[in-house]
Amino acid sequence: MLKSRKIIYLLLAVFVGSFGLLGGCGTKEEPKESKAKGKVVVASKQYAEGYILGHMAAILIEEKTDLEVDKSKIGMGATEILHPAMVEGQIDLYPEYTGTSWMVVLKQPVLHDRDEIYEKTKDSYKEEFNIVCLPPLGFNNTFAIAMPKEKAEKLNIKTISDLADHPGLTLVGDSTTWTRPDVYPGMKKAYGLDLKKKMVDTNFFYEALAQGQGDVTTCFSTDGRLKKYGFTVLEDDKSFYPHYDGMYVVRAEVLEKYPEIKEALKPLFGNIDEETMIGLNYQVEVEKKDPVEVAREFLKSQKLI
Amino acid sequence: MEGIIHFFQYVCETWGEIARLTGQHAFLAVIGAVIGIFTAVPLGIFISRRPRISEYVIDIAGVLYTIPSLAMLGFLLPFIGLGWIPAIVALVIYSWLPVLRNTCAGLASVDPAVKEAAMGMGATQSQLLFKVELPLALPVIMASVRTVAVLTVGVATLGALVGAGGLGELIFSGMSMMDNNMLIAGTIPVTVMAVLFDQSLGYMERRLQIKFGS
Repeated sequence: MLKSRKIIYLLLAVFVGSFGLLGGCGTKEEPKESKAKGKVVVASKQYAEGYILGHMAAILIEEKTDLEVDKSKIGMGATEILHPAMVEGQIDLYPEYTGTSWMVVLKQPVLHDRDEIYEKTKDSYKEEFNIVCLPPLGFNNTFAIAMPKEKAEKLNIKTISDLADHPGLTLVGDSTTWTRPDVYPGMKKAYGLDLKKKMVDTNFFYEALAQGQGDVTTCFSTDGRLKKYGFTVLEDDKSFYPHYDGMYVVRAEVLEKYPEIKEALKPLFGNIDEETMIGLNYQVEVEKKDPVEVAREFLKSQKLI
Repeated sequence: MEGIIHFFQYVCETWGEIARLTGQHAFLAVIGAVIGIFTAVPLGIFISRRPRISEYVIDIAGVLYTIPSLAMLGFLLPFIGLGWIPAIVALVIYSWLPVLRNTCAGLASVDPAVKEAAMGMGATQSQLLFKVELPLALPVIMASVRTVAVLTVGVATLGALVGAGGLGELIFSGMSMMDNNMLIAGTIPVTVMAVLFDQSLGYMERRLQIKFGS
């Protein structure tokens, strides 16, 4: 008697539970439906450049199309978070870098040709994830070597190759600079450099250089602080560093449905060079302006909105 | 076993570098601790006579002590920049609290009856301090001095983050590259240095005690 009652309870539980599951599936369908009304989820990485480029895309899509933009995911996180979220369909568009896609997402070895890395990334993204890589924006945010402008002019140093003629100069770096094969050891091999070593924390690179603790430092080529301190980026004339061209990546499904997104963003392709990006980052990183305003002002200055 | 062989190979290859960094490290730790101790002991004596301000001074030292080391270096940056000077300033600041507190506590623990007896025998203020109070407070003060010596050897590791060099260079590089050889090659000298400092101060303490005859 007791046993049969248990079985009834069990069946009841399964019955109710399956309803719950079905219900769960039902609610999952809903957000997809709301997208049909024309909503695009724009995301970005969590630093000045990410915010600026994220908001630029959001503003352009809002102004140029009838689509609604969900901006809550701008500043969501790194590629490790953004890419899976995009594959899952939680976000539709975000600014990415060719090098990051190629080496971090696709886990491919370094390529030194700027166009090759974009083309190959584009093909693999389409094939593997059904994601479209829109054309590059025009700037390359890669590792670079910076030097105070005056010193560079005085010593007549324009490229990293020129550095090799000045042994005895001091390189400011952090705990990875002299050990990571893609930083100093690799550069040393590629360019025949012989630089002295000055180790400080990553956050103090610019300050150390400004104070004359060293002569050159590693940096990111679009860092806003380059403008603040008046540092110049030395040309990577042997193309040692991989290319990290800024580009928007967007889910192919979304782009097929709303091809106007590409049209809206088109004026940006190839139109943001390193100097422009440094200037925009400078406004956010150094002048502490709101990235939304910086993005809007830039678009206005370009007569895009 | 292979790991040990690799480690020794690494040490043999980078011997010069390790020695140079150990020298820098010892320089930072010794100068930092010496300045810290020689400022904190007199200040401790000074405030132990003035109970009203002593609390505030120790509180300030306590607040300074709790600032995370990297944040401290960040604070110092606009004022004294980078290099070995901010590293030493940070070490001095960190050594204040233990020494101040123990100097005050040591002097306070001296039995008032002993002091009265000394004064009754006609001791001057300075005789009272140097012949009675300090010798009796010595074990407590020395305990903090030894703590500070070990502490500065540890904190000096951060010198590598502000361009002061030291074994932190090996430790941080080893950590970020997950290179155990490098990490151990940096850590062993730090540990040995800390033990060495502590032991030699212990020896000094015993000699001082003999000299003071307590």
